[in-house]
Formats: sequence, structure tokens, C-alpha cells
Amino acid sequence: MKLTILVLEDEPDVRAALERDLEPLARTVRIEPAQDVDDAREVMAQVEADGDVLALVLADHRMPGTTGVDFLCELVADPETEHVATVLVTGQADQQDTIKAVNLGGLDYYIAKPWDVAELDAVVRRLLTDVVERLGISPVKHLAALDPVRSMDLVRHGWGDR
Amino acid sequence: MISTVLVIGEGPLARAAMREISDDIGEEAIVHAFKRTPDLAAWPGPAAGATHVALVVLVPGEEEVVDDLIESVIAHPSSPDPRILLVTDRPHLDDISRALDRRDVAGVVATPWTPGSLARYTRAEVARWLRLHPVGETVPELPPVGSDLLRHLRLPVAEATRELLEALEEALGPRPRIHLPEGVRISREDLDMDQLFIVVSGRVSLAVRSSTGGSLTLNHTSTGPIIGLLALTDRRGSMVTARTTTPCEIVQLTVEQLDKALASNPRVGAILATLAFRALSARLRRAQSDRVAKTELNRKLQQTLNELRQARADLVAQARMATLGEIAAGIAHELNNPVAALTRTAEHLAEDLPRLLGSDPVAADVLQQARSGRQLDARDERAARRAVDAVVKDPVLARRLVAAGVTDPLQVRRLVRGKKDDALQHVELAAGVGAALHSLEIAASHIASLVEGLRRHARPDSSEETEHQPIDVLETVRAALLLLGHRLQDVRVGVDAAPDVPAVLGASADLVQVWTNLVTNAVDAMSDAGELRITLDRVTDERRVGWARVRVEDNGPGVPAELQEHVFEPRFTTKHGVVRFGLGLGLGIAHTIVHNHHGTIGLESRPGRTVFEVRLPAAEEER
Repeated sequence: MKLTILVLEDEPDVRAALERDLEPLARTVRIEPAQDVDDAREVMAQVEADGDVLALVLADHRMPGTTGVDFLCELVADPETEHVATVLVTGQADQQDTIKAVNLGGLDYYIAKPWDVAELDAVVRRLLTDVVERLGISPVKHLAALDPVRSMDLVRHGWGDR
Repeated sequence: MISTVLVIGEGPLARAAMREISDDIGEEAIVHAFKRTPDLAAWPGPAAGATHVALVVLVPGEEEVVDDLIESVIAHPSSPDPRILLVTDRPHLDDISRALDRRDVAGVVATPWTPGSLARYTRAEVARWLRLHPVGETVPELPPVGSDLLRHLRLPVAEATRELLEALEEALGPRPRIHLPEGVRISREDLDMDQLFIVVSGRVSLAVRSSTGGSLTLNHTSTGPIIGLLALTDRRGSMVTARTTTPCEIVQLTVEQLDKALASNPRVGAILATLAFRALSARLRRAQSDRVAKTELNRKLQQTLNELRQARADLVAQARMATLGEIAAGIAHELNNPVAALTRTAEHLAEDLPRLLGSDPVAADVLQQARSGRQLDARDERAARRAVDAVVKDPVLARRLVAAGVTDPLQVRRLVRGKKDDALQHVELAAGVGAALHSLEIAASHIASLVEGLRRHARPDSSEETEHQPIDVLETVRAALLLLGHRLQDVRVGVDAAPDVPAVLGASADLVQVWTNLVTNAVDAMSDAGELRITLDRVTDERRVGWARVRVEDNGPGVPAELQEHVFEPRFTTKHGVVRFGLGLGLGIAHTIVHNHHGTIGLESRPGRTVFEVRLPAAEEER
């Protein structure tokens, strides 16, 4: 089983850049690109069929059709996907939308374009660690993609309290 | 008709006035007496069949203020506009200024008056009032004047002239009549005037030389029958040139002859004075009306001057724009060479690089593919990655290979057979070079389109050279939408065309450009939920001229009011960090093209609704 990061972004260049910056994690977690919300749902079905776990979605803010904000809010609201970490990536920091997303939608994080690679890396690791903890799965196989300090704590204290 | 006269006042003066007036005029007027003006309030008004108050003879008491008395008189409904004669023994009057200002006071009679004169004045004033307020058919004559001066002033000029000649000949004996043809100067402005001419018949004009050399006619009708009188006043040179404009009969007098006549016959002086007086007053009236006309002319001149200034400023602005246009065209032309060099260089590099890369067919393929700028969509990318991953068993490597454009499993196998890292580096470099070439070509074509835009704007008259053909406007709109397909993905576009949209004369490529620019502008202004409506119909203006009307409407945020009048001016815009001509110049180009088609373009905008309206004359109108 692999943790999966979904990169939802309609601009091919931006999508490629995000994936390139996530490359250090790519041998440990599965990274899938998607260009719109329908495409993202297709990826989610495939991930489930492969027996992997969707752990984090990085979604662009503005896209044709359903917006990234709406999609992330749906994920948060759906019990099936409420464990998924949600990150909004936006170039046009429209404050109203951002506030709506983070406050009402309960999104986990908000990254402004252009992003800082170190910040992206740290945020993704932290959120993946949260997901591992929340789902109560063994961090061992995913350590290379997790927050090093917290994941070691998890290992030490045993994740299998449940 | 019986007129109404009031006598207002107390004491012996008022009683004497009342007596004299009612004795004299009693049969033609009803005379009412009041002691004080407040008594008027209780007065029911004139007797049946009598006029409104025609005359008020006012005898003010010592302490009374005349202005106040008069105001209370004219406040009475039966005396809205009477003649007022003031009868007083005061040596000074300092309380009638308001009444004089309203022209309420007809006259002031001091006491004691010559018996009978107050009655005479009363008759005259009543007659005047009746002339001003005519009732029935008979308008009374004013009493005749007794004095020579007033009589002469009222005589027709010809008759007065005849009387003057008669009086002169009584003093001097018969005077010969001099007959002159048209065009004789009887006085000249550069010569001394020492004689007098009396024009018995015919016309004489007066003229002065103007400073610009021509001659300026001053008077024609107002000349009067006596020429040379003004010069006699101070014995200076004539101020004007008098010239006969018709055959004339005149009588000539030397100063000495005039002197003798004046001394021996007082009638000569009296008539001469009135004739001079009348000539001068005619000339004065003429001068005054000339002055009024001059003031009006000056005002018009000033207005014309202002309009000329504005026109000049407009011309200067136009010339400046034309100069800018020339410069822009020049720059556009100069830019063509470096742009061509850029484009050619990119092509040369693309041809030479594969040869340099030599035997590596994968790298050459990768380069060409990257140069094409084609990008896989996410779905295809995932599929390609899965296929490549199946061969290389490394998701990172698979992503990088696919990103570099290597998707063919055969090529992948060939690549990873040798040193994986070197091979990967090689294809990534090739992909990078290809992408760089792609950017270069995009940039060059961008510049080329900017240059084309500039050139079109500077010399948009290309359409003038092409024959204007009858064009189906709807077809040009459709063509523009087809061209813009890629920009219209995120907006809803509706086109409504009335069945009777007339054909217009024009160049269809130019009209396509107009719609392209308007639609591009609208799409840029709108966000995701944009709705674009294009409506075409036929309108007829107030001069019954038929037009094809095209309206491009969007629901974007609108054009700020302060910018609305500038939208058709050429400018650059900066969007997403890229300088564009397309928009700023686009509306300007649309404007120019529409004008070349003898049409109009206008904008109406508020938040949520912006409409650009273009009207083009129907083809049948232009034939």
C-alpha cells in the first residue's frame, strides 16, 4: 500500500513544477497528476482500485468547471475522504475565497504561488504524518515521506494503540 | 367714454386744484376728491361706464412722503397705471425717486400756477393716458404745441427744409439752385469746411477713410439736409467726405451769407437749430445702434476665435497622433528585421542541433517534440508514466522520462540499457533545448504580432485599397468567434441575429478584426462565469438611414466611468506581467476600422453589463 498525493492543476507547466518539487518523496509515495476535477475523481478511483490510500490533495484554486476550493471542501465533507489532507495552491490570493476555504471548508493549508520548495516539502511531510496518525497505519514503510521527528515518536510509542 | 380723475390732498391748494380741474374737464371726466390716500381703500372704484383712473392730481401734505403716497395710489385695483401730476409748494422734492424710477410721475406743477394751466395739463395727461390705454375707436389728439421749436421739430424734414430756404431767401433774396449729378464730393475730410450746403432733393452719403485704406460709409439715411454744419461749430476741417449718391439739387451758402441771414431773420436760426438737432439725433441713434451691433459682432468674433483655437488644438492633437502613428509604423518596420532574424535563428538552431547531437535519435526526437510545445494532458501523462514505469521500475525516472518527452517503450528500453543517468541527462538536456527553442519562437511570433498590430494601427488604411464589397455581417461575426475558439472555453457565448440585418460595404477581414478585438476585450474583462452576448439587428436613425447594428455585451465588472472616454485611444496594457498591445491597441484599431467603414462605435458600461455598439451603414445606403 502506498500513500498517494494528488496534484490537481490545470496548467501543465505548474503541474509539472509541483511534481518536480515533490520528487524527493516520489519513491516512497505515489504522486498522480490531474488536470481537472473529473480527472481527479478518475485518479481517486484508480488509487482505490490499486489498494493505495489517497492521503493528500494539492489543488489549484482556479480551474475551469468545479473550482479547487469546492473540490477540497467536498473531500472534507465526505466521510469517505475526510481523512485526506487538503492543500489549496493559489496564484490569485482572492481573500474571500481563501477565507471561505480555510474557515468554512476546514482546509488544512494554503500555499501561495510561487511556493517555497522547503515550505512545500515541510507542509506535505507534516500533513502526511497527520494522516498516518489519524488513520492509525504503520508509519514504517512511509518514513522517507514523513516528518522525521514526529514519525520517530510514532514508531517509538507504537502506532497500534487501537 | 368718460375718464376717471382723482384729486388727492387737503387744504386750500387741493381745493383750488379740484375747482379748476372739475370746472374745465367736468364733461369728459368724473373727478373724485380724496383728502388722504388711506381714504382710497373705502372707494368702490370708478363710476359705471368710466375708465380706470387716468390721472391722479396729488397734492401732498407737508409731512407726507410722496413715494409712499404714490405707492398706495397705484396699489388700488382701479388705478394700476395712472398718469400722476404732483402739485406742490415745496421748493425741493427729495422723496419721489422711487416713483420716478418706475416712471410713475408725469409731471410736477409748482404753486402758484398760472390760472388755467393746471386744467390744460390735466387735459393733456388724460389724452396721453387714453392714447396709451385705447378704449373704443377714437384716440384723442394731443393738444397742439404753441412754440416754434417744438413745431419745427415735429415738421417733416422736407417741409422744414422748405421753410428754412424760405426764411433764407427772405433775408438774402433768391438763392440759385445748384444741380449736381451723382458722385460729386461736396465736402472732403481733408479740406477746411467754410460753407454750408442745403440739400433740397436727392441723397448724399457721408464717408470716412478707414485706417486700412478703404472708405467707410457712415450714414446714408441719417445724413439730413444740411451739410457742413458740424464743421461750422468749431471751424475745423470736415470730418467726413460728403458725396452725392443720386442727382441732387442743393443750395450753397458762405459763412458770411449764413451770418447775415441769421442776423436779419430770427426764423433762420430757429429752423436751422431744429434741423441740425434732428440730423444730429438721427446720427446719434445710428451711432448707438452701430455700437450695439458692433458689440454683438465682437461677441460673435470672440466665439469664432474660440472655435478656431479649439479647432487648431484639435488639429495639433491629430497631427501629434499622426506623427506618433508614423513613428510607430517606422519602429514596426525596423522591428521586422530583428524579429525575422530571431525566427530564422530558432529554425537554424532546430535544424543544426540534431546534426550536432549526431547518432542519438532519441535526443533528436525529444528535442523536436519539446520544440513543438505539445504537452500531454494529465490523463495521457499518467498512462505514459505507467507504461514507462513498467519498463524502468522507477517512478521518479518514469516521471522524468515522460516529462522529457520519452514515452515510446522501445526508446525507453534503448535508453536505460546503457548508463541510465547519462542517458537521462542527455534527453533532459535535449528536452530543455527544445523547450527553449519553443519559447524563442513563441516570443518571436509574439513580437511579430505586436509589430503587425502597430502597423495596422498606424496604417489601418489597408482596407481603403481593397475594394469594399457587400458583406454579410453575421458571417464576419461567426468567423471572429471561430478564430477565437480557444479563448472562449470559459465563457458562454450567445449570438442573436435578426433576420433583416442589412449587408454592409466593407472589407470582411477588417470587420472580423473588429469583432475579434471587441470579443477579446470582453472575455478578458470577465471571470469564469462570463456570459457574452452578440446581437445583430437593423436600426433606422432619425434621418431614415438604415444601419446594421452589432452589440457585444458582457457581464464583466464594467469600465470605470473615468476611463470610458479613453477606451478607444491606443495604449499598452500590462496583464499578468506581460505587456500586450492586443487590448489597448485593439479597441483603437476597432475604432479606426469602423470609422473607415463610415460607421460609429460606442460604449455603455456599468458593473455587470458592458455593451460595445457598432453601427455600419447598410450597403444600400452607400450606393
